[in-house]
Amino acid sequence: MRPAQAPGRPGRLADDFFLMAHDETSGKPRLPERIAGLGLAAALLGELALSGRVEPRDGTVAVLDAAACGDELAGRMLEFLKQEQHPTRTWLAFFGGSAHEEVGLRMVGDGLLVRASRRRPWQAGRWVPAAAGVAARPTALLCTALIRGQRLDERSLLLLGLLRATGLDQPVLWEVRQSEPHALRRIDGALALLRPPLAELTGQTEAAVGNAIATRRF
Amino acid sequence: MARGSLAQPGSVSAALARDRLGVPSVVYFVLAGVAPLTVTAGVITTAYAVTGLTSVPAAFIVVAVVLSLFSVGYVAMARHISNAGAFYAFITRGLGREAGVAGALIALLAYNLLQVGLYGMLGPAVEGYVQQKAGVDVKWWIWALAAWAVVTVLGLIRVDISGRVLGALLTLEVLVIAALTVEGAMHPAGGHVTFSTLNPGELTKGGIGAVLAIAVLGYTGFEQSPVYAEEARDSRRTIPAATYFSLAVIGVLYAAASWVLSLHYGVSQVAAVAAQQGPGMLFALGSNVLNNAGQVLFMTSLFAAALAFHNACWRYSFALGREHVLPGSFGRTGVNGVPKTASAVQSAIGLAVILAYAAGGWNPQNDLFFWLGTTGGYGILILLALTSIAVVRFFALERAGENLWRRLIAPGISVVVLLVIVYLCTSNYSLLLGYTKPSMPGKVLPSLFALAAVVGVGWALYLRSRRPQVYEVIGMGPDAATGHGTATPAAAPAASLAGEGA
Repeated sequence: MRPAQAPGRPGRLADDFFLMAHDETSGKPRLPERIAGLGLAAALLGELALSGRVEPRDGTVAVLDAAACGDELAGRMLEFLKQEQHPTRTWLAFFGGSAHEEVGLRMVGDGLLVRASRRRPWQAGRWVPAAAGVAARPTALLCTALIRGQRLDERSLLLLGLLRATGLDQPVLWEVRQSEPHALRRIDGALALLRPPLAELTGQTEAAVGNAIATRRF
Repeated sequence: MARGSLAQPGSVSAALARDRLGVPSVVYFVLAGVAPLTVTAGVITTAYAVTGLTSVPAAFIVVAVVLSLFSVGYVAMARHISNAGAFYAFITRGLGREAGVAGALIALLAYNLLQVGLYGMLGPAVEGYVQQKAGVDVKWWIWALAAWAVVTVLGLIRVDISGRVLGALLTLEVLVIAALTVEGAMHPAGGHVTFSTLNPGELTKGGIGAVLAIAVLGYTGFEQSPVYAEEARDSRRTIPAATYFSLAVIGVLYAAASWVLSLHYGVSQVAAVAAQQGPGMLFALGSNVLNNAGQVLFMTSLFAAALAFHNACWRYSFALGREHVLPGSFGRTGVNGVPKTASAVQSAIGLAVILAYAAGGWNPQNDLFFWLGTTGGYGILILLALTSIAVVRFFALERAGENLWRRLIAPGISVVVLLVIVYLCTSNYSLLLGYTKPSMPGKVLPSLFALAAVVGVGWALYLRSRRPQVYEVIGMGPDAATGHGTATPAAAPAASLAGEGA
């Protein structure tokens, strides 16, 4: 088990999305399972895209560099992406099916979460933050940056785009809405700066979430 | 999906297929929205009563054939476009974005009319039942408001059980209709069995437009099957099979039940009995237990239909909100994944209509259920005709690997037949509403759709000049986020994903 990441340094994209998608203290999910899965799958693909290993383009995911990387989960995903050709939407649905479990386990391995046993037989087990402060940190960093009007790096922009795409921006940006509502209006302009492959990823995620909602299968 | 599915490559399609809908599930979703008992007890009896015509069974058969022909091109084109659960997506791709927005507003109006109309039958049905069982007299609109409140709450919270409950109720509905039909057939009036009302030749005797329009109303909901394309195990086969199977099931149920009504009460008497007894004439075919079960299920069926059309309404406004054709708030969802604005606006419309009818003291069954329901059905008829034309034009521009029968012959025939029915309805609208001569409502109600079309075209022209990014993605629904415009069908590959090498 590796030690938890030092405070101040950003964690992995999917880890941040995972923490934001759960209540900071109880670990209760904030999104319906399927929508959270789509968002986490997009965040995992986003990690690969940010590190230049894949590029979402023309509705699919192109593999640029499939060489082994430090992360075991990323390695397995690259293996899939290399072997089969599918539309991005298919990949989101496929990875989305297990992304919750996979990211949760990865974070347990990194010492960020512990798996709490279920309280009642019909309830699912919960992922609870290993230390106070860990869970709230990504939200606090993003909100602070938005409130101060700081320039967001590519990673934060992509995270913001995925929050938008899944509807998770509503609870996560609560503090911004309270203290600096006009900062919300700058988000659209900021998101317009996303590089095309990353904008494609958030667009595909938003479309997948919209379709899941329209069929009420979420 | 099971944990550890990221274990072996080569299993993407297979893993996804496991989680997807087969033909029976899609048929269940579709039929739950059609609500067969609502039509059998509510629409058929009202059709007899209002039009006084005995060609109702024949009309159901003719319309089943017409809609099957329509579906050939409809499900074929659904494979090639995004947002394929919505008529306006077809109209946009086939006839352009201006026609598309016009179609979208016609659909929003039609589904809202169908939805609010149901309160006009549900309220009196509960009122009558409670009066009969408990002797308590509570006004219809109080029950309608109660049903409205439940629809509103279910619309705003996420309920996972509703699918299963609706499925169970649907099964019971179909069984009860079948049992009532068999019981009625065993006791024909005067001991004679006659098939005359099933003969399509009957339709030529008059009022053909009115009867056909009401029959189309009965099938409304069948068009929802492509909504599940992306969820289907193999959308190329699952969606067409589910569409035809749904049409066949309800076609047989409606034709048989309406024929048995004419058989049991006598061809010359059936309209008069319908005028006197309403939905009760269907339940009276059965013994006490069956009669009672039928009445209870009629109420749950009406409720299920109200919920289904509520969903159809928010689905349309949600898709339009995602495109920003309607304000973006319609396309936003709360944290529980529910499009609150889209759902709440439909509920507000329902509340306003119920209160207006209660305050005006108008007849709920006739002026609310039948008039608004029929007008909604007429709107669906217009959309079917427009969609057929769009299918022909779409395949004239790109063949997309479909054969001549799917591209031209079947949709071509359905264009001609649907346009004739639209013409007959429009010219006899007062008769359709139960008037014997031209009337004010007969002019006003169909004109609403012309108004919706004009506003739609105007709005599309405004978007073209002022907000070209929005204009570009008209018709794409949730896929508007991919920003590809209608030139690249983003959903087509995704829709057939489970078919590839699964």
